[in-house]
Amino acid sequence: MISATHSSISARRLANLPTWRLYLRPHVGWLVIGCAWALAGIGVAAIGTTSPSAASGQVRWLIISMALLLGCLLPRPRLIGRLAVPILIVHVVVLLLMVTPLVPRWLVPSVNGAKSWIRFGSMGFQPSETAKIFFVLAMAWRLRHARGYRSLRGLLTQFGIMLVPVALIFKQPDLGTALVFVPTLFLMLVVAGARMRHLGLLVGVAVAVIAINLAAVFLLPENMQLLKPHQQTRIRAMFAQMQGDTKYINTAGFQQDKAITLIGSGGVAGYGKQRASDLIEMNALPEEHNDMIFVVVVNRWGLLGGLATLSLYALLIGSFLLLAMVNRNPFVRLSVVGFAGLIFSQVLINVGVAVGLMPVTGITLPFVSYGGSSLLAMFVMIGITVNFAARPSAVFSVANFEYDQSAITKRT
Amino acid sequence: MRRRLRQFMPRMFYRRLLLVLAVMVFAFLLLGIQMVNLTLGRGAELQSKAESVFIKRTLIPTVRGRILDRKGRILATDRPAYQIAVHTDVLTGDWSYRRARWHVYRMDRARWREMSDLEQEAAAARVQSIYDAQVKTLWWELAELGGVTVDEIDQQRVAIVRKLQLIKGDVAQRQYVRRSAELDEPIDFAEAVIDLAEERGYHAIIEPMDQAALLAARRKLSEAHNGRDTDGRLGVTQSVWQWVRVTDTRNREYPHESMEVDVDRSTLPLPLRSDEPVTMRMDGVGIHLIGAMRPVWAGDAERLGLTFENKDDAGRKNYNLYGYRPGDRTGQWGVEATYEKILRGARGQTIAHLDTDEVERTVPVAGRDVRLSIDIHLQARVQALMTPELGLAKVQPWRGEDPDPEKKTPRIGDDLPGAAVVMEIDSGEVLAAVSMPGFSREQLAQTPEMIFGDPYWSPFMNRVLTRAYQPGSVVKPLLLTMGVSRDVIDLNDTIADEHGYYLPSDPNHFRNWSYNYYNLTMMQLAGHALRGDEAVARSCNIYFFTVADRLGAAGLIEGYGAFGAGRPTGSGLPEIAGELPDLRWLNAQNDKRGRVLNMGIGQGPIRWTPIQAANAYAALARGGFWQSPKFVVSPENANDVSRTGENAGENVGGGVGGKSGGEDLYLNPGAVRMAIDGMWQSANEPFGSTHFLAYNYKKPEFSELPKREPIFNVTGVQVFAKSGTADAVKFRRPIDDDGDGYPDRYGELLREGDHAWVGALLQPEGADRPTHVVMAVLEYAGSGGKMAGPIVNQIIHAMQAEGYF
Repeated sequence: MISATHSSISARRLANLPTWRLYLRPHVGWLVIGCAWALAGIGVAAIGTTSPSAASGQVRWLIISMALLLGCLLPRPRLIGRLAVPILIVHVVVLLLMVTPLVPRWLVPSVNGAKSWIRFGSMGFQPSETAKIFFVLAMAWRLRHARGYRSLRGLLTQFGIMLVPVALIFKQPDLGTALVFVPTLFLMLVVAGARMRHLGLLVGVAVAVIAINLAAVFLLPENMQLLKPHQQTRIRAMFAQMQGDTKYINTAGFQQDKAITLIGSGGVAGYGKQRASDLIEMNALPEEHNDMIFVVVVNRWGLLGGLATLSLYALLIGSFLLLAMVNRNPFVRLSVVGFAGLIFSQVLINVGVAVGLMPVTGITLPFVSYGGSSLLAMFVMIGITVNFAARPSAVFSVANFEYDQSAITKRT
Repeated sequence: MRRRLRQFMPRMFYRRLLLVLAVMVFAFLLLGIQMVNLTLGRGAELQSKAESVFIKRTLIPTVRGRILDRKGRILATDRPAYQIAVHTDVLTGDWSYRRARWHVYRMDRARWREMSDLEQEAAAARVQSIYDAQVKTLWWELAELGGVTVDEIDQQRVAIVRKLQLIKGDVAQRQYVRRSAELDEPIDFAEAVIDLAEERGYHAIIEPMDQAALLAARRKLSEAHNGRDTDGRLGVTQSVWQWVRVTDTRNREYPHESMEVDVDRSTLPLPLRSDEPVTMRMDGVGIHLIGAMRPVWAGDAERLGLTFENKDDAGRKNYNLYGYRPGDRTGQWGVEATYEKILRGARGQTIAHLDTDEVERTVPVAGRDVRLSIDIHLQARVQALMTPELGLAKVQPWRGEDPDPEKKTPRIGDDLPGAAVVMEIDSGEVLAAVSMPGFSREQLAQTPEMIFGDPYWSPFMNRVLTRAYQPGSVVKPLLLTMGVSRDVIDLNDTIADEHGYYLPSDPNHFRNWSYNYYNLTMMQLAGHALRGDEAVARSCNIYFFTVADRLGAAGLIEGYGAFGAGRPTGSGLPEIAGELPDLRWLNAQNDKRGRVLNMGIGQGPIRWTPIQAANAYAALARGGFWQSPKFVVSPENANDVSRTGENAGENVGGGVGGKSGGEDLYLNPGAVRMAIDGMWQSANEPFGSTHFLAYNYKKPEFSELPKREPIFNVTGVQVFAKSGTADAVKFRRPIDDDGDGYPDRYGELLREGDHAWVGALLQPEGADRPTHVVMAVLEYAGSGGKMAGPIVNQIIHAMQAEGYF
């Protein structure tokens, strides 16, 4: 009680400060923004390894992203929460329109077989990138005072809601982005206090689904398969690659084989800019600015560069979780855990593919990969997080997401 | 644990946050570990793999060494030749299939991904005809270039594909047997099927080409490889010609494989004599010795430890320029196989580093020449003499009457297989080594079943080195030296043959040959008991039964072993050891004494090859110094290389073995002189067993002929000879039940009777001792001197014609 009183006094004092003073004082947001800038810097350098022009493009996107970041500092968290649901709905409508045949091709072209871009002249925008952010915010807003997810039906309802944007993104098709939603929501529900046995059940079902699909790929005939042919081939290629079988290295396993080769060849300290550039060019690594940027990082700066990048992500994610710990606002708490989940899932999938632990799935590496939409979305997220971190936490009489009555009772 | 955690961290939210953090840390650790594994664990391998793109390797072919005869004549050499080779995928039709799939994929990638396998197949099948037509056009163009018909190209294509399938099946079968044996249980056959390098390689479809065709093909290839589509993009349109290559094959040629030989018939035995020389065309001259080339088979390179591409412990690729690549050729048998390491040489290469513009050059190492001791002209002459058409390698009426018609002994007029060796005594160099019947390269290519499928005639077998025969009486001069040198008989001792048989208790066995044929003892024939030289000259069995009986099993085995029986001679070519019993085995036999007595006259459990026999005679002529015979005179250490060559000995049933070198047998010099003197008498005295051919007056064809004619009618050369008529093991058809290449049992009787041997030492006028040895054997021919003697006589004439005396 003493600490609660103390914190409410300090909160009151902070509330009286002008907004710009709030941002300038030391808080977790600085750590978040520092990590993001460092990662973005690595990204620009990595992109510049093979394409200096793309690197300058990325710098331009970075400047625009900073402007957006500043914009995100203005609204109060409550307003962000209120707007999140309508903005998500707008995203869903846009995503819906994108996969219908009604939209003209010039507006939504098919890039690499996927209709995930909206084209404005020479510029393009990928709505699924921002949809991820607003999905997290909308779900955090919905769940901040809810208790329904404590029942299995309530829990499944949350996943049912998630299926709407996921299905639309999946339909584009953009499997990588669609996949990120699942662990993100799952982690949000874990910290929101969903029952462990229900979550365990979901994990069990997910593991069973993966196992059944894998078994089907290797054991069942072609007409009984659950996955699409190219997905089956990618899975086969990954296992073949792990076993040292080279039969896919010129087809489905080409990208992953090149990725592993270039990562391994980076050694401890990497090749440096010029030689890495030559190597990547001559080995014809596909998607070297986007999905395979991590390969460029390790090839240029070696294991040390790779581990430093992973450590920055760990620090960033840790900062999000720290903010969730120190902030008392349930909306903020769930939002930042969701953001951490988003970044974690993307990094896990992207790096997992690059080092050969997961089948090939196209997904960007947050802050590092080349691309305006991804970068804008990520800095919007950072802006909102800094906004949350800088402002004094609202005072709540009841500790939120505390359902473990026995522990609370014992303490009181 | 859970309780403690709750006490330490009462807030559920914090505990859940901790859980999330733990999961994330664990996942990141996994990623980090995998990165460490890739960069540190497999770093060297992957670095080499990644950097291999900077290296453009161009191989420079080498030239295989020549094989020369003792006079520098070229027996085998490489000749530049070009051929057009086509990739396996085009030959099998896989290329058009894959192009068709790629075609449909490029049209609409997204749709392709949505399709099931069956739909993809159907879509590809609809466009495959475009690519099939390209391939068909290619066959027409190639036919035009090579000046052959499209049908011939197609036959060649089908033959290549079938051969690949056969090799694949064969390799899979071997793999299946090996893996099943390793695991001790049968594996799934599908697991044994492995991809072969040949399946990813190019195969000759036209060979060899003339210059005009070569130029046209190069132009076509250049267009195909520089092909741009309408947008000028390089390599977007793919021509099937991109899967065609002009390859430098370097054909192996054997300039002396076929030779014409003039045979002077004026010195032949009277019934065959003619004043008209005859010109005989000899094919496959020296083929058993020289050998041939064959393509490298799957697994060869691994077996020889000479794979071209190797990985070190860190997984980095290394290239062994001495190694074999698919499509390379290697020796199949003979000198080509045994001296492969000397002849082969190593490729050269240029390595262009695209990143630094450096170029490294390694010049090719040409294979070294191998110079044989063989005189190819003499070899051809000896081969001609042993050709049945001339008449000496046929059963002639002067052998005597045909035996019992029920017997499988060759009858008058039948062809006879056999072998002959000519060797220089001092050096041990073999001047000629002929095994008949032989074969030509053309016969091998066209009717291999004739070459490999006949167990009795077995043309592929080199009888000089890999067939062992009972020696018969040719061993008697050797026995004399053994007996005297081991003091079991004195030089001047005489032994009387009073009964015609050796053991009074067993008068039907261990008889003298004269007693068998004419019911006469040697006492009756010679009028006195025989001394050693006379015993050799008259081939007296009783004398040598006595010597053998006194030497005993140990002495005989030791004596024969010292002359080289029962071990390879170390000639440097694959050979067998022959047969010499183990003393313990012989001692354990019930009829040990009988066997020992038989060994005294070159019968019983002893068999040797013609090269062993010739070498034993050479040792005798050297006064008892045994040394290895030589087929290769340079490089000097070639014999040692051949013994380490792991492919030595394949296909011929023997291995390259035996020690190379010499040893003193410590023979009594008087005994050696006496043995050689006995041989002189044998060949030159009227009573000698190797002296004359007798023509039977009862036969009308001999009515005009004198009663007798000397076997040897050479002038200017003294001949010391000894014949042998060896009671041979019956030859039964070998039956290989399990298909492992070795007989499991024996079937019908194919041949029986006696092998005919003659060994001769030759001393030119003016020389103080013999300089050459000639050894000949005719299988199941009957009487030794009468059948093999005329051949040895003609070989001496042939040597004279070639300027040896």
